[in-house]
Amino acid sequence: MVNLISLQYFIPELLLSLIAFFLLITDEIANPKIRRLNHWIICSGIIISLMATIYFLYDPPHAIFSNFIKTSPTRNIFKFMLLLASLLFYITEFLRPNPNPGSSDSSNLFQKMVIILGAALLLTANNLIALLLATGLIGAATISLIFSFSRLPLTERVVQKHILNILLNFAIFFLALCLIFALSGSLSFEIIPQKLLIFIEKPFILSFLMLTIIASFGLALGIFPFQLTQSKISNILPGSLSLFVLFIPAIAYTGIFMEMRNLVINSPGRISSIIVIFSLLTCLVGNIRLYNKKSLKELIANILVVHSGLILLGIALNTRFSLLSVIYLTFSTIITISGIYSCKKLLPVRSKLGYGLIAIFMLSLMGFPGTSGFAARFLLMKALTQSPLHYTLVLLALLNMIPPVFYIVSFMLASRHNIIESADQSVSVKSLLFLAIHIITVIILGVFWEPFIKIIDQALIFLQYNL
Amino acid sequence: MGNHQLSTLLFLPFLGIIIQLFIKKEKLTVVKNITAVVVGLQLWLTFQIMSLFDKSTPLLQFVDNYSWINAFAINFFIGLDGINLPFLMLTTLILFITLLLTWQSNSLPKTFYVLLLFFDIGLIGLFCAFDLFLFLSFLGILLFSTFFLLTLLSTNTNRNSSFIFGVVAICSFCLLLIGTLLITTKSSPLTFNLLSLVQSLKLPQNVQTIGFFIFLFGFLLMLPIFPFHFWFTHTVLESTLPVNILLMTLFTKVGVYGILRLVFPLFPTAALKLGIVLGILAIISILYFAICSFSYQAYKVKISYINGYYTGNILLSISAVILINHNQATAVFSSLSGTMALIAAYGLTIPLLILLPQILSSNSVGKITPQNNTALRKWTVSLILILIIMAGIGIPGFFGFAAQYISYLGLFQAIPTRILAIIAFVGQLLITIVFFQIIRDRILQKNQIQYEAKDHTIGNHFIVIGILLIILILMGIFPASFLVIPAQSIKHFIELLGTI
Repeated sequence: MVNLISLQYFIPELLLSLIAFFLLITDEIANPKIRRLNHWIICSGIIISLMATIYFLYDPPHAIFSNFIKTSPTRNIFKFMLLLASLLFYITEFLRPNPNPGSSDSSNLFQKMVIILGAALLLTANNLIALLLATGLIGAATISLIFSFSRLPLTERVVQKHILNILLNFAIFFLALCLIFALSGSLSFEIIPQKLLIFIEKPFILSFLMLTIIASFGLALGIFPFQLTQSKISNILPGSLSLFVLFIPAIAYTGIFMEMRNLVINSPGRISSIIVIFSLLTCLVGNIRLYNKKSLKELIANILVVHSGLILLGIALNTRFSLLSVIYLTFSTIITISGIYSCKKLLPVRSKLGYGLIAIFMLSLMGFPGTSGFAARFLLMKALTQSPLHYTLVLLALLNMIPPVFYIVSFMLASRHNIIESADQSVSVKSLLFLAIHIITVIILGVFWEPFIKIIDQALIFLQYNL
Repeated sequence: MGNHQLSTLLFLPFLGIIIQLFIKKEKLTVVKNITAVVVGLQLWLTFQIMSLFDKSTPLLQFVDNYSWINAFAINFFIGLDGINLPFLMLTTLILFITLLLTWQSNSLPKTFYVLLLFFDIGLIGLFCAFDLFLFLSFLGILLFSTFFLLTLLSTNTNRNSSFIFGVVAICSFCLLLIGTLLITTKSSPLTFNLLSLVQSLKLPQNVQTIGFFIFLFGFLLMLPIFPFHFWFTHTVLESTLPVNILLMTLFTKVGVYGILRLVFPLFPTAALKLGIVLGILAIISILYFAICSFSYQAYKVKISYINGYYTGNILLSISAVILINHNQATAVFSSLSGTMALIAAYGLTIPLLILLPQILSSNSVGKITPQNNTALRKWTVSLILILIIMAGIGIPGFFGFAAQYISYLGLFQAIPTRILAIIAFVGQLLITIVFFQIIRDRILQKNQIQYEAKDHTIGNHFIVIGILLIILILMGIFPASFLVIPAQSIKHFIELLGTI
């Protein structure tokens, strides 16, 4: 009975599983009406899941199946962001004028749904096995998608390399979990922190453990040096697939990494330093790779690498403000990326309106005051000033935030010349409304922080962080 | 409007921008009209504020204080006192004048007018903000809009100068952000409220020094002050006339305002000890820019260096704050009053100097031929030339003279600043020679005075010159009418620094 009541907290996962099963049967049917129906079912399912997540957002943690999977406010926040991102991408595909039925955007819905399901399960994982299963699910769906839609033959080195990376990532993940099990003797996240306390006097072991965890999350989160093929694969895959293969799982991995960071909460400061070093290196590599990038896709791919570094920095510090900034930055990035993607898909090619809207989203991406990107960065700066290394870190973080500003501004200036004045300007009202919601959200998040900080604060209540 | 004149003043441009975004770029007249309505309303509101402003108190007036981000104690806190009111007056007047000058031009795109309003928001918000976070936010908007004004309206296709400006803007913003984080971290309780920080912030000596220099360099980067001026001349050379007016008259005042409003009140101990650094930099700038303007023949270059010289003079009179250590409160009061007067005087003089070639060129008054060369025409042009030059030099009867005199009155009260003031006279002499060179060149028809390589149709310059000259002459004859505005606030400022 208790389990049945607790089951209500996992409505999103159940619903997504049902939808995935349904898509398994119907996805191969090349009937436009069936495709439309699939889209409706997916969107409705995600909306219901979102509503359920919001409804149970602040409920205390609930676990089922002997603590195999669990929800908590922090995980729910990430689940909310994950489902929102998925919904926004699906709505964009839904609203696209005359989508090609055979195109990558409207097919392989099953694999995409499995990725979303895997990501949602990842966020509920409370056990090492559950974590492994969810990661395996995401990896399998990703490989399947890449197989289906890479524009180059399978023998192409980058594609092979990325598939190998996914497999290697899974293997390292597996090793990391084995190590945790070996050290703690437990599979459950509830017990592991207490068991690891005995190693408090052996920082080398804990540091090695954290390094392994970082390595296993490296590919998914784009951490240097594990993200080597990420931006290349995003160039090869079509836009929507890049989002599902790289971006959506990254949201879930960020959330679960935040939880796993807390597995070693009582570890010495040098472990935070390890993560800090990796985060700064990630930002640096992202900035270096920005050099001479001309296309929007490449630009965004590398800016997201810089964002990954900043998010990692926030997780490393593990303070109230830093975790606030992680969630804020993740949410801001979701809205911004979704906005840019929607502009590209819903508006006429190289239209003035598209240029203007993309410019606003790029301003948020670079952290212009008054946009959500600035709010997130400011929270991170505030968190950095409270850390032991404070001003060194503030300076380094600021330095890493500057190159994207230049590249974004250069891109905006260069893109002006690509505007086609005579481009067909007719855009559907629904698309305009959808884009307007994005713009308003970006500005509201940038100007009215208070309500969102309160929402996130309440969600972090069950998370241990450094005071 | 009740008591929310300041908020209305600040949000009018927002409204203007939103409306402009829906207007097609081909309908330039409509765009200009919207800008004119916004700027005109702002000017009218400023006059209203001036008439309602109580000059007998140093307390903040027209305050709007709304809770914004409680987690950080950040409020939307704007207000006016005697120090920022002159800046506000100058801003609305110069924006109005810029619009008047560009009214007849059809070569300026819609983007210019949209960016002008963004510039307007950034500048007015920055001058009125009493919350550090709000100050930074408006500074970001200002820097961004200035960058795009310089980039999009650059006469050089390479746009190197706007790139350099971008670098400078980012460095300045980052320095100020770091400084803000530094002091707000040390404040207890956490607050971004400027007044609370000034009253209650007790920083240790080393933190004061670090904070002082971080903020000072952050603001000096935005000023044409040696050695931070490297971006300025090229930027002026590569931008068009309307942008030059905005840059030289208004943008350069941001750094001065920041030093007065933030640097000295937040770091008083460091300011009183290290303020002489400002004086030394000012003197070097005065001499350097005077020599440069003397050396270069191109008029536009001369004007950019004269602007640097003016800024040096302003900073020199600000540096008199160190005389508080010598119990020379009267001297400091005189110098700071002179500072405010210099800001206004130079702010009104620079546009005159920029517009001078327009008056002298044959395009503006018609080609002078033996048939239409009337004595009246010659007399008018000559009179205007002489008046502008006199305003530029600071001849008695013009506001520049009164401002300079009051400033030096304070500087001469103590030996350290007296030495600096005497050295500054050398610069004054050189600048006077430069202005006489301009007259000589005109008389001898030598070194044609040109301002723009690219011809933007600038109109209404006679009206603008007339307005500016009248203001400068009236304020030169009745300087007290201006000086009474910041008087109480300056006294309060000195008391605040003197009690440390």
